[in-house]
Amino acid sequence: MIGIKSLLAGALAVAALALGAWRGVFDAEHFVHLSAGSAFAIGLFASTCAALVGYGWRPGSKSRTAIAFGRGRSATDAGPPARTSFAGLAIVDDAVGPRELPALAQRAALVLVFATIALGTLGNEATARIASVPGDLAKPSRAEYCHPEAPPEPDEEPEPEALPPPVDQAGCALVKRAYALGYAKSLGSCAPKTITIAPVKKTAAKPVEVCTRRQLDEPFLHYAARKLVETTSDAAPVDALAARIHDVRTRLDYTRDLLADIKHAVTGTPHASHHLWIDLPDPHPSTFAQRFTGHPPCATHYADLPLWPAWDASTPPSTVFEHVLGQLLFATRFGTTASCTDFTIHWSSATDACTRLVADPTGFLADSDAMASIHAVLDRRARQLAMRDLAAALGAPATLPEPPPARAVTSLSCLMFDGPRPAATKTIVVEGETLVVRELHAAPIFPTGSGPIAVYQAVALVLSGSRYAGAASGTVVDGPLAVDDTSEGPGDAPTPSNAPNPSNAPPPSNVPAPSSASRFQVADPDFPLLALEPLVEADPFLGNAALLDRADLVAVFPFEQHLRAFVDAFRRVYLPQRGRL
Amino acid sequence: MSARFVAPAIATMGARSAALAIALLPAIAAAEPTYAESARVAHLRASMDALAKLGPERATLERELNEAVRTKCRVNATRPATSCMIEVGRATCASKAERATCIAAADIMLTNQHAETDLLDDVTRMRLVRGSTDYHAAVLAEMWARQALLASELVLAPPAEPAARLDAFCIGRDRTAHACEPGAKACVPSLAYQRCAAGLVWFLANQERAR
Repeated sequence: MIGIKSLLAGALAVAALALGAWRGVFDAEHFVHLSAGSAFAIGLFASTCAALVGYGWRPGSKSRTAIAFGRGRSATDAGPPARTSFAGLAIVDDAVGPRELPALAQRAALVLVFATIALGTLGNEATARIASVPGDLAKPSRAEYCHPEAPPEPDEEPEPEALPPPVDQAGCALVKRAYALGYAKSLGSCAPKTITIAPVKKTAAKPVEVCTRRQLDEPFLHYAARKLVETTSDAAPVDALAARIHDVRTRLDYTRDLLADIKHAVTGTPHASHHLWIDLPDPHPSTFAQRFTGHPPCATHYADLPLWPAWDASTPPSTVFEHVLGQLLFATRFGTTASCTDFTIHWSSATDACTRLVADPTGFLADSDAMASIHAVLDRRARQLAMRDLAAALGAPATLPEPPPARAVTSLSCLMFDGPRPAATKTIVVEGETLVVRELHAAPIFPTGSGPIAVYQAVALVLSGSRYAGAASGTVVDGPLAVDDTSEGPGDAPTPSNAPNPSNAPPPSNVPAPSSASRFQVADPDFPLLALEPLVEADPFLGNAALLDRADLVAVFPFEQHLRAFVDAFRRVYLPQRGRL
Repeated sequence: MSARFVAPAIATMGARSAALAIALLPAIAAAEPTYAESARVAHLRASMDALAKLGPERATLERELNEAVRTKCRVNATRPATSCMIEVGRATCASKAERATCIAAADIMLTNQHAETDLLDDVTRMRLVRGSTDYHAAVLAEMWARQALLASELVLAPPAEPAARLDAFCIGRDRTAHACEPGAKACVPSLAYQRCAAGLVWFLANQERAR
């Protein structure tokens, strides 16, 4: 039966020896290169640790727990019962008279363990860095004290001296002698050559920066007195006090704005609020679970939109509309996007929503749950303006940029797919700000063929206020719809062939005349690939949408190119009209 | 006879039977919409077989078509009209012994020639005009580099019969964004189906020769 302390000390010593031998810390070369400081640190570490551990170890006392070996002569027969036994070994608590290593041997084992650890970790560099810690801590910091400037780097190289000509050039001795005696008029190639070096351009001297911090040998009281004099010498105390009072009074005048500005920042008031009323049902109605978990972020709806989904006649129109809206505003494949959190779509609205909005703006917005966000945005904008006024009153530069106009951060639109009617633009006043209301009634949505093209055109028209006139057009619209009201009446029966013109109004004069679908002979049995080439220029948004009514052409139609041009042109017009706070 | 049933049958034919398939192609196209999947795949397969059958003569035919288009269809520096190119293709192949093979190959060649002004920007074409004695050969080499990039994308496409795989790849490629930085060398932008398919068919037919 052997005491647990002796076993542990022996095991630790053996492990340390094995580890040290493996890492090579016992190599003679390691000791040869050890500095005196490192050797001292290793010894100090080993003896200190061994003394501290040895105090709790108590090598002179017998272990209370012991390990008994062998089955025949088990200590469990005569002594206390074994706690556990396994493979001939038994752990005995409160063992009587276990065998122990001598106390000196146990201490030596502990010293060996800690010395091995120190040998592996305390190299010369580590010891030097540890030794330099107190000096580094006591060194005055550069933020508080003036340190002597480092010697400036030499701005100019010393002028190189011209190399003296070689005394004796090979083969020139006779020529020189003939020249000296007057037999030759010149030395020719034996004339001494002088190497000149281009002068180094001198750089302008750097201005010397005067250090006003505390000097290294400056007493603290002297430094404090110097700072006091510097602070009070440049301004009259009465003027300084008056200016301070003025600042405080000015800030007090703006207290409400300051607090409101902080509240907007903390509560996350919307940076813009755009509302679109539409007569289609919500394609993602709220579920019961979402009342507890909340709605998924709007960005997830538009994160990975397919370019041109294969819809059929049963596809809900609101799905088509949502896809088109996502492509136009939020699809990242077309470059810079709008923020979907700024937009609110009021699904299942009455078709006369905008009429009621114009008649009673505040009441309608309140009934539609739109007033809160519009009020928050307008208030946030007003506070930003107030903050700029405060900065001007204090004579300080403004920290906030000029906010966009109210009509840029809030917008109100109605898009109803209840049959084409003349587009309209009206203005309303909400909280003292004039806002634009755009209204468009378009033909019902056809999910197949050229139907989605009409939806693209309708959504783009009601949002941007301008018609698509080709990729290279530079149309810029700010506010009213750029349409005329010569459209036909609402009784038109929409068909896929007339669907691409959302309000059935003739395009503006700068829009190329719609080309007939028959212009493209996309059916040549001998050259089917070559016959597709005209589609590259057949923009479906410019009157060639009827091509998409051929089901087999939809699969090979170059949508990416035409859609990119359309969305790019839309965003170039729409995004500059809008802004965020 | 629907192309849906003809297409797998053509796949099992030898080169000799391919000529029959090529001859049947107009009938297949008439029986089903020209650009239905089965018709597209059948046409691509026929074009690949036609180019393989032409062998080294395809370069001669390609140059012959280019010369004819240049002289008959180009007005100033504008892109030739496809209707004119189709007529040139028909006229060129009318005198060939195997007309159907010639037309199937000519569709690929003429589509590539029609697309070259869009695939090669003005700067590249000006550089080729200045720096090469044979402009058309230089254009083919420049197009070859882009077609090779496309082919490397095709390798990653799900495995299938070559024509079907190529068709599926080109249909799907234009449905995902391929925006390239201006002047990016190793980037092929979004391509119309016919340009992708014609470029890849030409590249695959010629890669054996290039080795």
